[in-house]
Amino acid sequence: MPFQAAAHSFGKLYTLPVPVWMYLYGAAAALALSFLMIVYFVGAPARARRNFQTLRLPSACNVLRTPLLLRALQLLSIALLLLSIASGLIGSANSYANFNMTFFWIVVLLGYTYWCALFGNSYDLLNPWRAIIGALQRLAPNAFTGCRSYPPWLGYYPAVLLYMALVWMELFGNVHPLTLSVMLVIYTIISLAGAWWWGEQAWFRYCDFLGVLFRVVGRIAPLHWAGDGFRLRQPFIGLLEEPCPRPSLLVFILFMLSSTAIDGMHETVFWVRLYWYDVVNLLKPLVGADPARTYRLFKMLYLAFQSLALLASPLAYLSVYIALLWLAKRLVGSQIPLRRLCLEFAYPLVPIAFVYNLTHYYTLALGQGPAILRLASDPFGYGWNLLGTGTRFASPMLLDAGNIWHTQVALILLGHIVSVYLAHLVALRLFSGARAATVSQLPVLILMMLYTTAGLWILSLPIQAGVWVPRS
Amino acid sequence: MLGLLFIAFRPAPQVAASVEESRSALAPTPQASPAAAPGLAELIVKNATLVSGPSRIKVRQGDAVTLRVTSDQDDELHLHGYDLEAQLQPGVAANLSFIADRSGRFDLELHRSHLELAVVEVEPIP
Repeated sequence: MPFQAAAHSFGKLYTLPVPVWMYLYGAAAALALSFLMIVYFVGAPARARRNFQTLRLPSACNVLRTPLLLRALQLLSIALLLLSIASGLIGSANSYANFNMTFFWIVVLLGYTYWCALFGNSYDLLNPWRAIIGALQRLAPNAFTGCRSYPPWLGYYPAVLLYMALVWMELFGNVHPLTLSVMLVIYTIISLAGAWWWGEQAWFRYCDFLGVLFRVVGRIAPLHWAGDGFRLRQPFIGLLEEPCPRPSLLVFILFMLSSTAIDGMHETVFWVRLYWYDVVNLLKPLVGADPARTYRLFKMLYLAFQSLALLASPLAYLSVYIALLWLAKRLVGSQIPLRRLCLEFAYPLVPIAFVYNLTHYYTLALGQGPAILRLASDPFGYGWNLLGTGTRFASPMLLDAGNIWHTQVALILLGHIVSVYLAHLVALRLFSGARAATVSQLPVLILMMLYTTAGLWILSLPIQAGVWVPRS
Repeated sequence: MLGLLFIAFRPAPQVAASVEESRSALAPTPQASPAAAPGLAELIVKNATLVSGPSRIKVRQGDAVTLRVTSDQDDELHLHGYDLEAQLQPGVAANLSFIADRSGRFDLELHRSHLELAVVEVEPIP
């Protein structure tokens, strides 16, 4: 009996796996670059202690924050949310002809993430759910001040759970335009209820996972709002402004890494065989040998296996993280509690997590993203041409596979080197003496090498072709 | 240092061997018809299932490729990326011929049966 390999919910990836020689080269280069970084800091530890320069932009730029413009953008944001919901309900069932699939999965989830990485997080101002609540607050000023105070032990875990739910739907939910609309409606209800129960401030700070995601990614942007004006700063350096406030946010960051890893892995030959050979053979004695009956059971268990892998994946990354930071603490003989060390080194992981995402999805964003112009002209797939852009980008933009490989490996290396650099700056701040800082960085280097090599390795795995026929 | 590593790890392009390999990958599986022209992949579909032919078709960029698909039902054949389409009639072989000028991994799909029939992997020329 054939088994249809579960496809990514939306968008066809056309990238070929990175060749093995390039993967090995990338891993070796990551190692070499890491040691160059150590040498750089051993030579002049004082380099780390300079003040980071920022460049103040002319105050004319502040026009971007005028209330009138923000109000207009918030209205647009609400309108786009409503359009996304409506187009799934009444529009075409074809994912590629309906506005909402491309808009949500590609423009918001990928495009806006990259936008925030360049221009800083603007989501807190444009968040449609926040704007809706803001409008409701005008009618009923005390409706969203909270019935209960937010329990501190919950931290960012609601955001982690909601983020997990979204990725689960993305990978295994077989989402169609209608499903997406239902998801958006449910999320709207959850947001309103959550903001009513715990108060608007707590909800959007700890629970609204998109807000948390864009806030984390926005820290790497060179552009940032300093309260009185825009400033330019060194890219990525915003990650050092303050340590990660809570362990739950560390888990969130690790899930950014691990969910992309699972997404990259779950369609590969390696993954499919891991289950259909190894796990199934392990379970066979327990279930019996009747192929017709057991196949259906194993297919159901496959979903359970994949879901478990997705939910447990941040724990795998977390255990490696804690083990190596514990080792760093022992090597230096530091008195700093392990918990604090774990929080201090959390943000420096964001560049690796970001390039994981970028290498996996930038071809998808470039290939499918421009279709939004066509879809904006015909959001329901009825054949309209409202804006006159109906024929733009009729065929997707495809990049050459060789260029993609080189870009992917280069991006992974860039993320790695930035993460190593930031971690070293944190170490110099935490541990007294350059020697202790350098020694502490050996386990951290191993940690980042593991994450980076895992990312490269996943990129190099061959992908399962169309239909998988398990041997009975 | 990086340059040295790059050179050290970069294998010599084995053009002749790879072409041979891609030919063999293109040839239909043993149970399919033995008369296989180079660059031709024959796929046979029954009950919305691929019963004969390769599910992974490997070619090199620039190759002339023909995908010959026979189904027992009316259907619509679509090669993503290249955006090529062909109508299938029951029992009649439909040919999809093209020059593989774009590298990448492209799905070959039967729209009506919602079947991802195979993938065409076009290896880039180094």
